Formats: sequence, structure tokens, C-alpha cells
Amino acid sequence: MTHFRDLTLYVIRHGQTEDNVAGRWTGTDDSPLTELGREHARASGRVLKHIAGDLSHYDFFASPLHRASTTMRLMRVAAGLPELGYHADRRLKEGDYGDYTGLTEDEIRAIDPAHLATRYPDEWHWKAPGGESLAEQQATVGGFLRTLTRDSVIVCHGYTSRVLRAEVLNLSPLDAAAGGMLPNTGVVRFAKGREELFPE
Amino acid sequence: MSFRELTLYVVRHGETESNVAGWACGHDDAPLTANGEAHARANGRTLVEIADDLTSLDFFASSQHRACCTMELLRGTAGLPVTGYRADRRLMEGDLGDHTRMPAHEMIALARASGDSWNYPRPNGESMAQVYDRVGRFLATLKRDSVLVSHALTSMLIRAHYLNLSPGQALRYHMPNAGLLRLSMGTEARFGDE
Repeated sequence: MTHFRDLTLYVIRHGQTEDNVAGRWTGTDDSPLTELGREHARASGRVLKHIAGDLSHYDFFASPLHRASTTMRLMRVAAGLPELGYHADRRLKEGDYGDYTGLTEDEIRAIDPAHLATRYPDEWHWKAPGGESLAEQQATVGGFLRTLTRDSVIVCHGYTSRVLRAEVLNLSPLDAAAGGMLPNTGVVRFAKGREELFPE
Repeated sequence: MSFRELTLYVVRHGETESNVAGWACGHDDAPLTANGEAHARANGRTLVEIADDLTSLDFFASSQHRACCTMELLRGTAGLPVTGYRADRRLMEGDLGDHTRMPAHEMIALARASGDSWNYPRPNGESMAQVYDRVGRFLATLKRDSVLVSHALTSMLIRAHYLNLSPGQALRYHMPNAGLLRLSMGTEARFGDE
């Protein structure tokens, strides 16, 4: 049985959304890709084709949230692949921000300053009221990774990419929390226990 | 204002590849078929026929891809800007957890065999009662007449809230991929059925 840490994984975040521009925490709501976000997706596809070469041996997985699946389709076309032909898996959804969904950090600070102030240093176990922690999301994404049988291309979200990185590189919560989100364009490759960012 | 005083236009996403294949999608996703895209466009035309003023309506979709794709096709056909709707997590389909991608009839049979389809907890997923509660929290936020594009179970539970049905009555309804359910003045009407 193949272990996901022995596979090559290419990980891509959805392109820029309207909420990204406004600084809103979208979570498991959705926000439309901007025109720049659609170009981000196409650029990621061109990078992927350049660094991976023959893509016919890879499995493709997207989050079922609209911004990620749309990014996958734009990316596949730009990489010279049929638009469809990927799986959309629930475990790749963005983390759930509960009552903070749709708010900016300033808005959250205005309604709940004491709770927001507890976010650091243990960010990995912090959560919004009614939401989930990064540690909980890591367990979900770990469940997804254990189903992989081939090298794969994964299109997901900011927090999803952070917990995926923690799981693939086997990081402690403290080391994992030090890693930021992926940019909205470009490709990260995980192979042989190492990571490498290929920007646009 | 209670959502029961509003008019709600309830739409399920168009037919998907998983609907054709007969497996349960839940929080996974499957692409719309050509038929499914036609379902979405037909509902855009129906909405133009039956709603007085589209600019007075709010538009909400489930944040899942198949529902947003349906919403965007519906809006484009109705002559509206494709975006300009809100995508809300509380309109997502019921989370089937470990039963995701199971044949749909087996998924339903498991709930029936439990003796309580309403409270049956899907392993790592949601019970119908939990989905009913989150759909209710969403409906409580509505301020204007609205178009709601979601899923089979979600639509069934929107209807159950609106008509104040018991669990047994609620579960007897099947929301098809085609056509539109209007909830207004305490009653229901269907439009555009095939």
C-alpha cells in the first residue's frame, strides 16, 4: 500500500476571489473569482504543465466549493487537459469559520476582541465559535490523503493547504502554524519529504 | 419578518453525472450534465415568467460547485449578471460522511433500517435533523423574497420549514432536478416540471 508521503503532490490554491480582495474570511461560504483570479488559475495550469510535463499519470482532486472547482477547470484547460476529469472531495473544503464566516478581521475584533486575542500562540487549536480548528481540519485532510494511490494534483484553499502541508511534512503544530497560506497562484510540489514553490 | 411571509423560489441544481449514475454525492461534487445545464436555463426562463420584478429578489446558492453553476446559468438565462448572488454554507447538501458515493438507494435504506430516518446519524456526517436546523438558521436571516438554489435534501427541508411539516411529512417529498417550487402565502406550487 502506497503511503501519501511517498507520492509526488502538486498543490494549488484557488485564484483570487472578491472576498480575498476585501479581506473577508470566506470559510465554507463561497465568493466569486475575480478576473485576476481566473487568470491566476490559468497561470497555475501553465506552471503545472511546465514543471510536471506529462500529466496523464496524475489523479486530480478539487474541493467541492465553487471557487476551487472553478479554478480546477480553468487550470486544466490552460494545462492542455479536458476541463472535466477530476474528483471533487468534501474533505478538501476550506476550514469552517463558524460565526466569523464572511467577516473581516476588523469586524471580528469589533464584536469579539477577547476571543480573537487568544488566537496566538497556539493558532493550531484555536477556533471561531461554531467553527473548527486547524488541528481538526488536519485530521479530515489526513483522512483524504490516506485514500491517494497515485501522484496527484490537488486544488484547494488557504487553510486546507496549510494543514495538508503539516500532514505531508509531518510537522509539529508549532512548526505547522509558522507556515503561511499559499498564494492565489503558482504551484507547490511535495516530493521525497521536501516542498518547493513554483511561482507564476 | 418571518420567512413564512416571504415568497421563496426553490430550485435544485440541474442533473449531475452522479444523479445519472445513481450514487449519492453529499458534500462531494459531480459536474452537471448537458441535461442539467438545460434544467438550470429552463428555471431561469420560468423565473422570468412567474416573478414580477427580478430586481426585488435576493439570490442565494449553496456554496457547492453544482449549485453555483446552476445559479449562474439560471441568472444568465434570466438576463441578470452571472454573479451578484450569495453562496451560503448552510444551503449545502446534507453531509453523508462515510456514506458519500454510496448507491443512493442503499444510502436511503440504511437510514430507514435504523427506524428513525430523521435522527439517523450518518457516520462522520449529519443527521436529517441537523441539516433541518442549519437550514432553519439560514431561513431566519432572509429579509426579502428570494431565489434559493440548493440540493435535494436541502430543498426538501426548506419546504418542510415553510409549510411547518412533521418529519414524516417532510421526508415524503422528492425535489426533482428540473422545475421550480414556489412557496408563497403559506402554500406551494410547482412550475416547469418535465
